Amino acid sequence: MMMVEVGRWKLEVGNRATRIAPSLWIGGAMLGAIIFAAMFAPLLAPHPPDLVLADAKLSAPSAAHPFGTDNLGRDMLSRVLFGARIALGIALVGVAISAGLGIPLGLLAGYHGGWLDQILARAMDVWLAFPGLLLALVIVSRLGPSLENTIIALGIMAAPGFFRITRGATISARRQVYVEAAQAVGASERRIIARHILPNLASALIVLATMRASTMILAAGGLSFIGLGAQPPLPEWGALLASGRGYLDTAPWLAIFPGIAITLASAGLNLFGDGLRDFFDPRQIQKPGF
Amino acid sequence: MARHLPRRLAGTLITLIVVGFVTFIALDATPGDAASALVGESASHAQLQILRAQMGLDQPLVARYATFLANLVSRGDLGQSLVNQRAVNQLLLERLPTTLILAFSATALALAIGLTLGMIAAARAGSLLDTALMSGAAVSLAVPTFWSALVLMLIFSVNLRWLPVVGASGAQHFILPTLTLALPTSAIIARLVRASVLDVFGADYVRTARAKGVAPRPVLTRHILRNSLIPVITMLGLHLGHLLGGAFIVETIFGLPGLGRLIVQAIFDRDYPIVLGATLLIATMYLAINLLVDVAHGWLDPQVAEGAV
Repeated sequence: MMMVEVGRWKLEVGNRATRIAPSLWIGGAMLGAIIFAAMFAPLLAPHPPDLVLADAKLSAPSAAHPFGTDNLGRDMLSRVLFGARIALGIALVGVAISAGLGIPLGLLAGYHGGWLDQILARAMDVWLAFPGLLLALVIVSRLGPSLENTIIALGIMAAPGFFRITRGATISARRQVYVEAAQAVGASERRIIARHILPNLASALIVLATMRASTMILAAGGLSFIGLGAQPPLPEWGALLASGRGYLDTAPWLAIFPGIAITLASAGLNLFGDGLRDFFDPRQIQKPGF
Repeated sequence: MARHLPRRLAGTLITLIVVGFVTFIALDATPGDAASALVGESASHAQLQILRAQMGLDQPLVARYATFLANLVSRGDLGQSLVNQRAVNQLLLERLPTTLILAFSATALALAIGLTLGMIAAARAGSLLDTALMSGAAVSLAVPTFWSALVLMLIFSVNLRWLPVVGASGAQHFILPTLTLALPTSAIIARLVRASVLDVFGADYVRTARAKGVAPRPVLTRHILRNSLIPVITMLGLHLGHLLGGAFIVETIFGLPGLGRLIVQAIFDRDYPIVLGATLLIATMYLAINLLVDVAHGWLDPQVAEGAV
């Protein structure tokens, strides 16, 4: 191990990353802001998110209501802050579902190969034959529109990504000498997967999880926006945008602030994922220029 | 590729049949079925059973799916809407042109923007311009379409009054939806073009071409562009497919009567034959595009055609 000084950063590195990509700390800061808002929403919010202030309907942003109020007189800043909790919930639970489905199936397919692998890989092809959010739509159609069902649908929809990465990496890891050695000395399958295969996969999976969290927040917002996701009065950002849509000409702040919040969360996760990828695989940073 | 085509076609067909079956199962086990939707709440249990038998709803699931497929293949029949009893294939045909126009125009615009900006960024890699372009791309990827749609509407329809807010009576109704959809796609393409051009630029055959004195322009067009287009075409095909199925948010916002809006409305109405029919149509178009992309891939990259990759 050696110490490398990069700007203000001191890194302990082997022959790996020698710098932290700016996207890592910019994305991290944006993500941190969202997590902070979610954790301390009750302390930060000037009002309870569902409190109706009858004499302050549709008031423009002011000192009393920095993000204005909606058509019922609810404080938008409070609603957007509490919305951060829902967004993080979508990201965490949604990613947990898709990783929980994709990783075990990917390990199974990649480690065992053969007919099991063939069947699982074909099943994932069918999964992926539903373009865009179509699979989520079919699932929501079956389960009925609600925030929980949207999260389930998005979690199921995103599973093939985790499956593919896990399967591919498991297949190549299985051929490595250290795995063959572990097999030769009689290590159990469970131990080989847990000690030799999963650690090698961790960085790719963390990057994918970060990216998927970003798309899930966007997708859930989209479904809520058209009425197929979170239902009122939940302060989900997409639902907030949808209710602000009818007041575009008189109260544009209703649509602007939730949109900024979604973009911040999604961009933060994207940048953070980009930065993580560069950090884990520094070879990708050094691209030749013209 | 030509050799593999029959096998790919067969595989695609099987995938489609399974996709239909999965959707069929997913939508089938619902409390209110087609018969009770048809007769309403007032019908007696006996009446309902007779109607179920007439409609074949008392048959097992697999048998009903077989009947559905047989009707589809022999007569192009996808069943009837539960809400207004219109033929599903008729409804789909009415909605298809809007979705096609929107998807193709958005893809074309995204390609034009993405290719231009990606090449500029690659040519100035590492410069301030490159950083600015790529940061812009990263941000516009994170902007949800339902928000950019509203912001565009706010600017061009509400404030400037240049364009109509909703409707589909003329070309001007497609401008904002196309722009909305093209924005994130062009960001993806710009990033990909940049990465791909830089990647190809360092390749041995480019160095060889330059070393043997090929002029810069042919190096760019014949060696670099052609090879760096391969991943771009793959991505473009994928996105066209996604737009065909994924434009439902934008169609809903702008009130465009496309397939996406049809599905969303059908979900609200619990009109499952429409959801099933539209899902099948979208999946078919998506898989057909994937197949075309593979063919184009083989044509651009002979290594793929030879099976070397």
